[in-house]
Amino acid sequence: MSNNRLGGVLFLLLFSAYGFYAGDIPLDYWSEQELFNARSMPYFVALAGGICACLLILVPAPKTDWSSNLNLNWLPACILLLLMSLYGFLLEPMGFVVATVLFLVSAFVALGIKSLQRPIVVALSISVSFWLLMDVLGIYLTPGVLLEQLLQYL
Amino acid sequence: MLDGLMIGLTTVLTMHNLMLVFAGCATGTLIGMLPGLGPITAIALMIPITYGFNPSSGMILLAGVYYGAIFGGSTSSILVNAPGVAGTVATAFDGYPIARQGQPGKALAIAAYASFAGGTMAALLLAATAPFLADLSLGFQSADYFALMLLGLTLVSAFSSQGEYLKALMMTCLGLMLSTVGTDLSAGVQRFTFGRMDLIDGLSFLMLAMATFALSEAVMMVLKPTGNSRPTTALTQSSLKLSLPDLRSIIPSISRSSVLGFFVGVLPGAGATIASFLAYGVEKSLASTKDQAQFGKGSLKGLAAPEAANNAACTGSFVPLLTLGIPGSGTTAIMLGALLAYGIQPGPRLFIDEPEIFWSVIVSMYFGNLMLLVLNLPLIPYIARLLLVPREYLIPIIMFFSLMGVYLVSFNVFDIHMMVIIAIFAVVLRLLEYPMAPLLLGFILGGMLEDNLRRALAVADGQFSFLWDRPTTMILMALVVIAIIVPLTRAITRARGN
Repeated sequence: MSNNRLGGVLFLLLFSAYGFYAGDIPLDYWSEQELFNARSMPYFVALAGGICACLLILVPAPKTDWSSNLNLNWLPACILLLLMSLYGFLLEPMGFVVATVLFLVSAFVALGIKSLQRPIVVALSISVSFWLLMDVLGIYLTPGVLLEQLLQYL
Repeated sequence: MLDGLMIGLTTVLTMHNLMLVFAGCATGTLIGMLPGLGPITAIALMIPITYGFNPSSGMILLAGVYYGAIFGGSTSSILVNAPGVAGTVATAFDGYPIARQGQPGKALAIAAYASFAGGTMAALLLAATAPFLADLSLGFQSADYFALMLLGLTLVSAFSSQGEYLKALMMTCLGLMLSTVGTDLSAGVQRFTFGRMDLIDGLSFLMLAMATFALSEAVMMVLKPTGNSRPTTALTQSSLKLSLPDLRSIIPSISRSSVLGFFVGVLPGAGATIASFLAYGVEKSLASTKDQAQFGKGSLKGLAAPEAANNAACTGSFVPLLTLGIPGSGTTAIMLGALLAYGIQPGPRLFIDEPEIFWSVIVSMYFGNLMLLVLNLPLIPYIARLLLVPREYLIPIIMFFSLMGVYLVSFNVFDIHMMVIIAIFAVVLRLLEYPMAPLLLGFILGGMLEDNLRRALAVADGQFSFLWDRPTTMILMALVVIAIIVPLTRAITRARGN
């Protein structure tokens, strides 16, 4: 199967669902009487997207060699995506500096850096200097719920 | 006009004001290089500082910050494929591939020269045509804007490689779809928010740009580690020199794009983004078949055109601000606020009542561009050294700055999670060879397209005849039809031939 045809099928499903849910956009009585209301643009886009998807399916395209995608460096890429997501979860409870150092050091290691000393120095300098720059610009970055509670306790 | 220019020159050519131009350009460049902190943030941060100056000096500093921030944004687009503002997205299409081919110095130098040329030509055009253009831009109606936006969307063929036109159209529709997420401002109803408060304001451009360009590029660099992202030439001043054939090839593109960018910038709401995309599309259409194949892979014209148009449009956006008091973009809206804070009312009487402010802003634009060139060219070898950082360190750092750039705008970790999800989809789509640029184009223009369509229909009493009622709209619509049919027929014929 060509990547055009596969993409076309997936997009056709996506735009069909989008057009279907456009009908669920709530409208008051007056908006329903208007020629162009909050549902109109989604309907136009769903129609245009559906036509493009059908053309992608119907227009002949050469077959795609999927095997090349299987040999890619999937493991470190997935680890990085996971680390970014974890960074989002840890940023507010752990605070900017701690969460950033943890994220950067883990990402450096995931990409093949062996020793820990240099990554820690790099991560610390980036997070602290960025925090200081934001402080100078008057932009607040959270010190972290955990640190705040610890300071309150002390 | 000459009297006015003399007033402007007398105001700007003082040590105090020249220092302000320098300080503005330097600060703007530094802030603009950080993803997420574009010209709006840079100017907003500088406004309190300008309260101590007289209005002319204040505006001179802000104009310097504006240009510096735009150039800084281009730097991050070229070096790390992270366009922090919409106006520099098109710069990344060819700027980043040139940097990846080991010539980051050359890419940054072309960006600097093109920005300078675009800004300078636009400043001259502004001085000559500002009052006349103000009348003209007022004559542009919703129907014309709608047709112009549609033309911008149909030029997606410029962002698709040979035979991939349908994929580009598909991605444009996806971008339009994403632009409908959030609250519909005319009716005040939520669309596709699935009950989540975080989606009420819709998806942010910055989040989408960072996820689809910077993050997905970083992940692709991990997936396919063979690409060489390091400069192969020595990073010296001599590496910034352009050969005569290079100059010959980019000068016509820069000239055309500067004029185009300026006139698009004059239209309120159109701005640098549409100008840069249009300039890129026009240059690709005008290029020979051999040159066309280079677009998206490191074409010098593909880098010079959007850069020149982008800077020219920034200057053009001052026309409605200074002559009508209408801000044509978010950045000029902030500047309008600054002018009002100084007690100045921009409008048709500004260059009669306060000529030193009107003309000093125009002259300072020229000096700002000159200053940027003088300031940035010597620094390019040092800025480009960013690419000498080993990729094991560079990739996580790019990811960190992209995530922070988005987080600093909303201070909502939901955006970080959304970015990761969008980045995953972007990587899959890139592996399926779908281009990302049309997605952003559709997203940026979607909201404006809907607003103008709604307004045009309201004015035309619900009749679609507005599409051919006025000559301007009709010409633009005819171009739209040509822009859709020609590449589509070519794509289908080629597919059948294969």
